[in-house]
Amino acid sequence: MALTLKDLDLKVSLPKLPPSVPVFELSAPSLDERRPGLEQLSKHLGLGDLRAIQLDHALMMAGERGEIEYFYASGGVWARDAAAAQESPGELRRWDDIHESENGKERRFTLGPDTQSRLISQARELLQGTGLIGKEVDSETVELDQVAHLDGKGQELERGPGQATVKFSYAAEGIPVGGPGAKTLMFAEPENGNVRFTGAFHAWRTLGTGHPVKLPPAEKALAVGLLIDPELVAYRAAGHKIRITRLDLRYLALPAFMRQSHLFPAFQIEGDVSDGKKGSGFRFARFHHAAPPAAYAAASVYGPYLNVNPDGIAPVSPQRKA
Amino acid sequence: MARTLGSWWIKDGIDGRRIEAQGFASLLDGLSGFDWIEDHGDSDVLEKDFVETANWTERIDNVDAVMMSSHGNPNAFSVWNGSVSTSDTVKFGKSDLEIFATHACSLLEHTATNSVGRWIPAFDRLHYMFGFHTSSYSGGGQNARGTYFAMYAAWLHAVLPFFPQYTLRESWKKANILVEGSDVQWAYLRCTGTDANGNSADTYNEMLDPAEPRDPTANRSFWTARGSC
Repeated sequence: MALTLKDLDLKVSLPKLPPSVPVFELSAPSLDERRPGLEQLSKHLGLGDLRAIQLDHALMMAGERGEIEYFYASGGVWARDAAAAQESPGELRRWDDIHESENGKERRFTLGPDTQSRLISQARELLQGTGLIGKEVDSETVELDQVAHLDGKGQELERGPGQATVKFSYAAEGIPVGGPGAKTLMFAEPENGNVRFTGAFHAWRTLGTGHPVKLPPAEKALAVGLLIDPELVAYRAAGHKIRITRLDLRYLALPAFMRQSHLFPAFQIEGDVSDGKKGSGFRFARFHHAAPPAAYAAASVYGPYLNVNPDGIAPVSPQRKA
Repeated sequence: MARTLGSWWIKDGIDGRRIEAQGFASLLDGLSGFDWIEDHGDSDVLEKDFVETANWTERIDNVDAVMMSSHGNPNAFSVWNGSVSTSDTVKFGKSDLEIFATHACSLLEHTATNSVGRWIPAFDRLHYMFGFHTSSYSGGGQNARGTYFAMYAAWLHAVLPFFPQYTLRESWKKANILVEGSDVQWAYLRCTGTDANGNSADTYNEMLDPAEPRDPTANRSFWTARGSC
């Protein structure tokens, strides 16, 4: 039996949904469109001669110094200088201009604002030259891997920053795009007081026509996926408490290796389930559809993942009304 | 002798969990030098396969590398009949296990108040525990996590010898960048040191090969790293 909102301990407000959102047609840049940029990226990374092999999910162009991977389904690209990550004897990196902060729970190393700005503009320049950045970029940040060395008893011996990632995130119509298919990353290593880019990942499909699709109020929109999530239904039926700690409206972009016909609205949800009859408590995180199949049908928008959860979680129910 | 593989999964209505765990083992099973010998789902995912139990051989230690798909929190991961927690007696690698990878949420969370060092007692001769500092997702195309982990860790290099093989840590990072949004943080905890004879058993650049690697059993210390997907 489906959950109701009363079954959930909501620690966040229900998002206010617009009455409709454009659902965008998506297309994947072709290999021919990508090729000049890939050649430029390969040259920048010093990958040398590459041999091309067609795999099920991607065209792999690889050589002894690294590879470039072109994902057919999305036009996404991964590039790597294979030697770079193994040159260091361990995870720690010596960056200039490092800051450590603590917010009571999390300790984080970050680069100073000037260094971050410099990295972002260097990455942006390289990406724009190769065409591997979308025009819908909404935010740009630099993140450092966080590293700690522990002794055999778990006491921290040292901690510090690791590799840096310059991260570009996307939004459409003012709604952030979540999921694995909406990011452009540049991986960077410190080198003699400067920075060396050692790889990139670009996952962002080209947005086409937007078709307005009606969204129900949040309470009803949650019934499209979250409230019929079979796992949460089973745990609630067994008496477990379900707490929701994150509930955001997003567009969902699927992984670069999956074909996606439309950029569609979804809820990004995090929470936890209490201990109970079915076992120990746990944390969970999910994407669930926000628009019902009938809303897509009413807008004459059809696509393989519009009626079902991309991982097949929620049951298909095409008769459900908007 | 081949490296052996295992998959453990609890679906709880989400078949992607089975696909995720089996994807890792099944892709490698097609290579010479790897054998998928343990596959356990739902009610066959038993606490005693992970926790030291009298008169029982923990099946997790029949294999070299495991992909497990079940729930978690910073102190425990779920099994069908309960959970395996940091307060249990766990000896991963007592016999063979070197790699334990799981999508269990926040299992490797490392904070000022709850160090990931809580999992160190579970390292007998285990080399790597792969997981997440944050929650990991389902429902957005995450089913293929195990397949891509296996692909970059071993499969591509095996079928295309000129393809530069990824280290284990880099393949975990890449697989998760491919399947997760950028607000998720991958993580790992690795043991490094020497073997009993003082030979280096540095695991930093360890790869998944058909040959058994040297186990870090002496002069041990541990490294944890995490980063955004």
